[in-house]
Amino acid sequence: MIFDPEFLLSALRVATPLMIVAIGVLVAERSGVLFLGVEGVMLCGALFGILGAVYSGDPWIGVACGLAAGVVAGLVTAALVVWIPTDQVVMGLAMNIAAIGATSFVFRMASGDLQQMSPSIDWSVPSWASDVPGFAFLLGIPPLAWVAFIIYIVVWYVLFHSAPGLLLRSVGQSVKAANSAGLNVPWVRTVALAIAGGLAGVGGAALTVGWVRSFSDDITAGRGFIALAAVYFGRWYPRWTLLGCLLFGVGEALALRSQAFGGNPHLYLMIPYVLTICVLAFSQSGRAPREVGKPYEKH
Amino acid sequence: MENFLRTIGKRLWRIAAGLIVTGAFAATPAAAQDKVKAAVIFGVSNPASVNGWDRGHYQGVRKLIDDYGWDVNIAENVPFPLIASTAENYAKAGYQVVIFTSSGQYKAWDQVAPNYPETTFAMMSTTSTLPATKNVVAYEPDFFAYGVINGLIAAQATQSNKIAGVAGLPVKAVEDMFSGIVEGSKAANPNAEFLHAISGDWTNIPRAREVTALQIQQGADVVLGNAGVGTRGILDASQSGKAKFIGYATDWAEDAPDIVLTSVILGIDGWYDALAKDVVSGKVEPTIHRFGAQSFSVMPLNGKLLGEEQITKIEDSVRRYQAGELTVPVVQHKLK
Repeated sequence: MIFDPEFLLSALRVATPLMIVAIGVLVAERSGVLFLGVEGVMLCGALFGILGAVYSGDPWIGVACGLAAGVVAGLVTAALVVWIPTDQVVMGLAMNIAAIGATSFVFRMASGDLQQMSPSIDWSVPSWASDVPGFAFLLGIPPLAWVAFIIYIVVWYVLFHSAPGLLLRSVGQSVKAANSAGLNVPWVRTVALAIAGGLAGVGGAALTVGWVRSFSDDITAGRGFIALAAVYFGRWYPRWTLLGCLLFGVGEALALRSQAFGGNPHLYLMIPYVLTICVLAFSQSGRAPREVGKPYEKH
Repeated sequence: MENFLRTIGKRLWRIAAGLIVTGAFAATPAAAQDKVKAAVIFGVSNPASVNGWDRGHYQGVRKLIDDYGWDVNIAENVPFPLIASTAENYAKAGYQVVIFTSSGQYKAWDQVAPNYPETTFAMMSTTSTLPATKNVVAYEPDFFAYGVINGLIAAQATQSNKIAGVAGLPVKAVEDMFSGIVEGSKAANPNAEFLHAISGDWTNIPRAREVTALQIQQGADVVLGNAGVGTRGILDASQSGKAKFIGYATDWAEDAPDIVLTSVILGIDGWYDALAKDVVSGKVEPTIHRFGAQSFSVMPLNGKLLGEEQITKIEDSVRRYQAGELTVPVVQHKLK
């Protein structure tokens, strides 16, 4: 009863927002920027995603709004940590705290229209298909999970098999070398943060529009940080990062299902977090891009 | 000299005029000063938007303002460690009534009330004891009876004989309500099985959603949710899983008209009404006022989800229970 197709779907629903956000974090960190403000950017995407979906009546417009909000938040991050530049840790934390207040404020102003759930993004399974187990399972996968896999393939290809990806990674590895080669480091990082912000925004929209169809204050509840942990677990490689997110999804789905055994539910609810700590503790220590967290100052 | 005296005269005239105006303004708030100053402490943000328990309290607050003309200040999103200091600040600021909206705020109630005898501290939630002071009062629902009514409805509406109940945390109110559901459903349909689960907190919508999805997967076709903000996740899972949903505390029909079977109204505004009457008449005493089965009401059952005969049967059983014609044994079940 615990491990069945519905369990996998539940794990995928949990993991989908994380996968999209984590790929965004990966892009930012590969360019040498510590994207600690990802939680706040995700929260902005979550709010504007649901606003877009409710006001337009189309969930995909909601996802586009989440993307746009994320890009804007990513560009704000870039202005602060790349162009000024301020301390990346302090600015990341400030972004997160500011986002909680700002989204709560906007949500309150708009909450009159948010009493209703946003329209569903899921595909409806035709009655004939619901009897075919494999087909029903495939249609049960959240549409944004497919989007996450496509994003993963694109990011993996661009980062490791294309010239722009090489440029981005070189900026993250050595600013001096990139400068010597004539690269415009601030612009590369700005583009990376716009992409990262956009993905974090889509991840937020995947949480609200694609999953629970509603918004509440601080709905991300640390999911941005979990995505950050998944990138560290994945040693800044897309496939391992994706695996980290899926592992967390499995842990959360397992925690919810284990309640069927009885006992204290809080014991089970610890599973995904304990799993994350264990995996991080026992995974091989990876080498982060060398410039991560260092402010760029052209000499 | 003449100029000086004229100037002084003008200034004195202005001062006198100013004093008259100030006096007039000071006299105007005399009516305002007659207003009862009350403060309400919420653990959630924007309670009006959180359907269920918190919106019920918000409706009660509106009653104090609209029907009784009270001057009410609302503190939202107050974390548990700050509840005592928030209540204390209101008492120090001269508020006559401080209202707690959750049984989780009991510790702060117990801690602060004895130090401010001029302020009335009211608990609007489940409590079995009162702080040792005269300036306290409590208004609580009989959650067991509330659960029985929910159980009677769910057990007669289920086709799979499985009912799901999802709560945020296993607090006493939830244990009482779930015990009532078990006994109520047993009384109406001996084959009905009650599946319950805990989502882990009152704010996590995604987790509440997944827990409910699991209950539906296990065969439940009627869902009851009491998970605070997380109840929206329960509603969403019910909608996705095509299960019937019974609304908690306030009316949920507008949120999802296609699946909301009915809502069992706690009538929280009635508790506020009782408090206002007690305060105005000066009859606040350290008592726990209990609101039983008759104080709850059931919204019209959804005719698209049930047949007419079924609706009549359910309505009749609820009526008989509320009238005391149907006896349901009070058995306390411990949540696993």
